[in-house]
Amino acid sequence: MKTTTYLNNLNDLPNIIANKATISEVILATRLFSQVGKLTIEEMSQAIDSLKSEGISYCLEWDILMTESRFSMYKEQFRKYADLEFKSIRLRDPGAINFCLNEYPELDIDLLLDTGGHHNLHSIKVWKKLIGERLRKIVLSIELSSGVVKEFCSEIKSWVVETELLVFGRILLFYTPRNLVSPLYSDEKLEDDYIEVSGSSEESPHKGFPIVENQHGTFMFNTKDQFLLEYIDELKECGVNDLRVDTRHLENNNLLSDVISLVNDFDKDKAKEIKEQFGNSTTRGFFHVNKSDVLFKKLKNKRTQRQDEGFLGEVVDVVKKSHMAILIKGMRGQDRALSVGDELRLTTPDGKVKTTRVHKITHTNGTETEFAKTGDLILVAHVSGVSVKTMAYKN
Amino acid sequence: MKDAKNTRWVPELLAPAGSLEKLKVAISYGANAVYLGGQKYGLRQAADNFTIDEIREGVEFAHERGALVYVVLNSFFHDKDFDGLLDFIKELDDVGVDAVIVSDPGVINYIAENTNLEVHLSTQASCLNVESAKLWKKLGVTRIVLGREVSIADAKKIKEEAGVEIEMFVHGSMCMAYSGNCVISNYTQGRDSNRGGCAHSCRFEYKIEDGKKELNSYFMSSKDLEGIRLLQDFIDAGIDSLKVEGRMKSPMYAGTISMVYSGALAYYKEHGNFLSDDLLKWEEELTKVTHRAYTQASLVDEADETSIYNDREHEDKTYRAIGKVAQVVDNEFIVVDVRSAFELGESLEIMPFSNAHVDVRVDHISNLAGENFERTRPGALFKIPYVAGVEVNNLVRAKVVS
Repeated sequence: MKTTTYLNNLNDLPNIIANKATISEVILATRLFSQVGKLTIEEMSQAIDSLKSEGISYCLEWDILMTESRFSMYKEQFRKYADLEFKSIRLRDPGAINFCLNEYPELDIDLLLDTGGHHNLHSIKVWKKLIGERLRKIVLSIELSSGVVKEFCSEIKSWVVETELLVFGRILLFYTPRNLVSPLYSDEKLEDDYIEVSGSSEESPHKGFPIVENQHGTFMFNTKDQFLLEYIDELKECGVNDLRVDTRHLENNNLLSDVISLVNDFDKDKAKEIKEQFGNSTTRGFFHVNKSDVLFKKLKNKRTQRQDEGFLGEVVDVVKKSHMAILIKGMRGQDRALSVGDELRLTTPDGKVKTTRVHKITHTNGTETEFAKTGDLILVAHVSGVSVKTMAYKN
Repeated sequence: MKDAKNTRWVPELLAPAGSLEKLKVAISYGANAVYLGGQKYGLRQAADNFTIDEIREGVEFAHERGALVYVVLNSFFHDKDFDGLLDFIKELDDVGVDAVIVSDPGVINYIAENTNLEVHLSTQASCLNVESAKLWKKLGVTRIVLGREVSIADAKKIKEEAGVEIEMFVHGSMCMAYSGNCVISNYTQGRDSNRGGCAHSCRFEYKIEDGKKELNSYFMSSKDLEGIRLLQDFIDAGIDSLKVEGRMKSPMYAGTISMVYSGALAYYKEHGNFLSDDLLKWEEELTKVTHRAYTQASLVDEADETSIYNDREHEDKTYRAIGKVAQVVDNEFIVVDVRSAFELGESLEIMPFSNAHVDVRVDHISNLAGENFERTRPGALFKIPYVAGVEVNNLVRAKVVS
């Protein structure tokens, strides 16, 4: 198990060089190709010279998404730097993947599946099939729980492909190509092309979302940083190859040395101590459990949801002690969807279940009928407690 | 002389169907296709969504009228979500849906291996360029719903160079983020936005601080898309399908938007242009449904600050949705399913599936038992006098009197 980190500016170099024995590689996060990178191309060239001389491998991050017009420009830029002996190229946009597959057969690909979907093995297998032998590493989503990470790592290892997971860094919540911050400061001269503000909403209990705007658009991050240093032993067990440390939002990347020391010699107490010293709000996110679908059942009233079996229709109008109108929607293909004598089961929006025998069916023009068909709007005697949106089933 | 009327090609108009009721309304008002969600696997967990019987009925209704039905399976699956998928997609295949809309490569592959269903790539996959489209095509998708950030000009290039059908949004609410790349709800509400739990945090007002000053803004909220004036561009670019957003919206929305865009496309089929006296009328109709301020977003140029909707509430409504016609008893009465109350003496507009609306001054109201009323109430059915030409599922609205 090794560590991967970013080179975001040249000041990061000494620390990286000092820890080179345990750093598997350095991610070059340039302003040009990286979502929130700050390294200029000139600095990248300088850094590559240093990294080469120190024997540290490096890869280029090209993690932005690009519309066709923008992509044409980025392809031209990439052609200028593609021969800089990157160990691999980290890609997110499927277009960039296809471009590199076709035009740069010597370049290995690190697949960024850390955002968006890709929370199932089927999906990852498809990517493996598409990229083939060129797939060097898969960057896993931090929304996966440890059990899932373990399962994925086991499978991916059998393909002789590496895995990487963020153990420390900002959690990206939102990414748009639009400039959302600078218009708010339109009356002021902005000194930098990298703007950082914080945002809080009365409608959210979380305060101080970091928001960055640069040439690639606007990015909002979680108020808490991902922090899995206390679980490095679990990650080792899961079989993750590389732990990624992203300190680009901090003044320095001293945390890198701490992580490396924990990777080599894990100590939970020491991890806790590092966390306390770090000071900022942190989270383990979904590492132990991801239940982000359990609240779905509360989003709507299941009782007003139609079930297919025995479904007759919906109560659409009620006059208490008089009648209820049922719009017959079910029982299609039957000559007599509802007949006098049938028994109805009524499921009300508040969960009550009532049963009643139909003694009389009346059309809306007042005429009585022995039976009604699908599509008819009919009146039957009201049943106490039944309201509009009650679902009617035939027993 | 050859009649040019039927030779001019226009894109498919694809409308949202959040329920069977909305499906019937949208198709009746001219949509060529609808998209809907089943009880699982879609991105609108709070919507009514369809049972398999409803999908079957929807498909029959659509096919009888020459329209198509697409089912969304565009959530980002976790492994456990595959439980039950096989049965569901086989049912969809049996029922005869015309395509499924999918965003997850694993699901695309799974469907291809197990069914004959045609697969469209969801906008959730954020397909934005030619190379990306080529890659998705390799997986077998026949149509790509492009990301909302793509211009019509870029879409034309993608279609020509990748050789796939292209679907673009023409109307409705916009995600501000690259679709599928927003997880605010996941981390702040514990609801996975990419499995149907989006809490629309982008619509909140935020206090922005930079250390020097503070200001309040709805900076992440987008205006709604309106592409009515760009229909010629879509046609010239050969865009195959024009999608209207809004499965969670009302039947009034589904019907009105379908009516306007299908009317405009029908005009083009007949005249070969959109230089109609009705253009302003079409635009006016689009303001009669609940909406935020309109923008053309990224369809021509990259969206800028003018596309931000700096307000929490929707525009003031000039019309209110009264409801829809639930039953017509010839020469006797019309039953209105009332959503917003109206009263004796009020003027209603009933909207036939084609042709101009019918003005009705209400001079008699009774409930289904025949008892007379002066005012209706929402959530109930009321009879008004018969009007010739009115059909079941016609929408009913009224001008807001200030």
